[in-house]
Amino acid sequence: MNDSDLWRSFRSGDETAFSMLYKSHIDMLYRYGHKLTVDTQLVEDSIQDMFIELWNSRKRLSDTDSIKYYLFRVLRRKITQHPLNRNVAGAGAEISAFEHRFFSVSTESELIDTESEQGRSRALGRALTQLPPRQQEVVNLRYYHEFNHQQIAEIMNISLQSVHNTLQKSMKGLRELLSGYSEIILTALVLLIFH
Amino acid sequence: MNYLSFEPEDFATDAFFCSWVLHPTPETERFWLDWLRNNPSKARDIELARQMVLLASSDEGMSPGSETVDRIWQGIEEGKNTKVVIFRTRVIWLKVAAAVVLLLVAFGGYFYRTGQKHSYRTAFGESRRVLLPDGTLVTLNANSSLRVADRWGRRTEREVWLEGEAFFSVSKLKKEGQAVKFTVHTHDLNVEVRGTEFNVNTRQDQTQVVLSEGLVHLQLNDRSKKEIQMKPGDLVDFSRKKQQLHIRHLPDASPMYSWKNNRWTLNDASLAEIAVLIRETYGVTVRIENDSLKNQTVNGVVPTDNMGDLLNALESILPITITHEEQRVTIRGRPD
Repeated sequence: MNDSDLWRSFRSGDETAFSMLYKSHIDMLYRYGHKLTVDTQLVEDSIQDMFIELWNSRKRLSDTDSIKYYLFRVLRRKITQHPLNRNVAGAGAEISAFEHRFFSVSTESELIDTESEQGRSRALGRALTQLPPRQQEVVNLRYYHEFNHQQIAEIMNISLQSVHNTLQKSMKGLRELLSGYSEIILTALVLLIFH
Repeated sequence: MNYLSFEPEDFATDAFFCSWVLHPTPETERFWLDWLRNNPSKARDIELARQMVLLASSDEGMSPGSETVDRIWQGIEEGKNTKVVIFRTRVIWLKVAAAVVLLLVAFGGYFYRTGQKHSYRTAFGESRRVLLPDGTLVTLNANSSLRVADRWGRRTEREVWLEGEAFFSVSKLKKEGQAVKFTVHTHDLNVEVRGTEFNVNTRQDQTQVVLSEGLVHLQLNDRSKKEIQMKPGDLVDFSRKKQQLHIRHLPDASPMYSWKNNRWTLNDASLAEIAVLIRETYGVTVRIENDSLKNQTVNGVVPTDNMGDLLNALESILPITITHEEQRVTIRGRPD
């Protein structure tokens, strides 16, 4: 069943469709919610409220061909505009623990340990978290959730231009973070291509 | 599209390039490999851009456990037919640095309760810091694992399970005016606190708890279910083999957890004791060739960032030579 059909079934009051809607999106919504706040309870409450409201207002909803996009937009608004939220990435608020949310922060000794394969992949894995939170969010929406620029602009309520700029800036940042490891990685590929 | 003038970040933000990296098709594969053959000087840029896209498409964030998924769904089911406004109970937390506990427990292959948990592990020679959902910071020592129950934030209890050693800086948490307790489960006992700093180490067939400040409750897991209330400076020792409990008082507990700052504070530590620490931290075998050396004692602070530095430091303090081959460390006497 494609998104349009699932959405229509749900709007007509089909409980199974509603449950499918939840099950197929809960993982990505939960992950995205945690990019916006450190408050797990707020994420869970917002997701719960969002689905309750969806059900209760299903008759008034319009068609959509991307449920994921629709849900992300609603969830972001719910979390960032929540009166009790003190840790919003997009609202320009101070994001203290945000970057450390569920990432293990390693001690200095590990950071320097780029000699081993393990140490390198750990360092790489952390590179993303070294970007400013707003860049992390745009990168996450673009590359992990694979939204297009227009959708990202709508979800985050920012201009198309600022999506472009933020992505460009993020990639420059990643390039710098990667440059330390690139030599080793690159050699491998160059060999691969020319053989 | 003139890709020749592209920098790596331009490739990485190009939709056609991204679709090749993330979802290659025969067409995109052919296009980019042909392009590379015609423009070999761009191979490095292309690969760098590819790595950037791959990295950007990773997500280290956490998936909700099945319990969480079910719980949220239950809430939706309950809520969708009633239009009642739900008043949320909010959690207020205050960070309080208070007590320090050190706990030594056996390091064996045992299991606590099963269920949905997140776990964090460290390899030999590695330590890492983990921030829990309530703001509690845990420093995990080498070769240790910490498991965290999945239903935090809703239930009134915070629970973790530890094997190995960890230093906890627990956030004080209040829910509806009640302090929410934080429990560390080990094979031998449960440590209950409400907002404190403490160190838990589960190695060697014993459990040792040192408390520097604040209050901690211990409950033994054996049949007696004995409960102990600890005061600052108290050291509780529970030997699993002997099933015996000792309590004594330390004037300064800080050397017990200096490992978390990548150093060991040694106070009259014998070489035999240090050998055990090295084995547990770096996963190597340590052999002391001369029995008389085993009782040599060391005082001072030694670095533990890596084993090489530590062994050099020991060589400079004691009349010994240390050889390190693969996973074997051998300590010999040095003729003066």
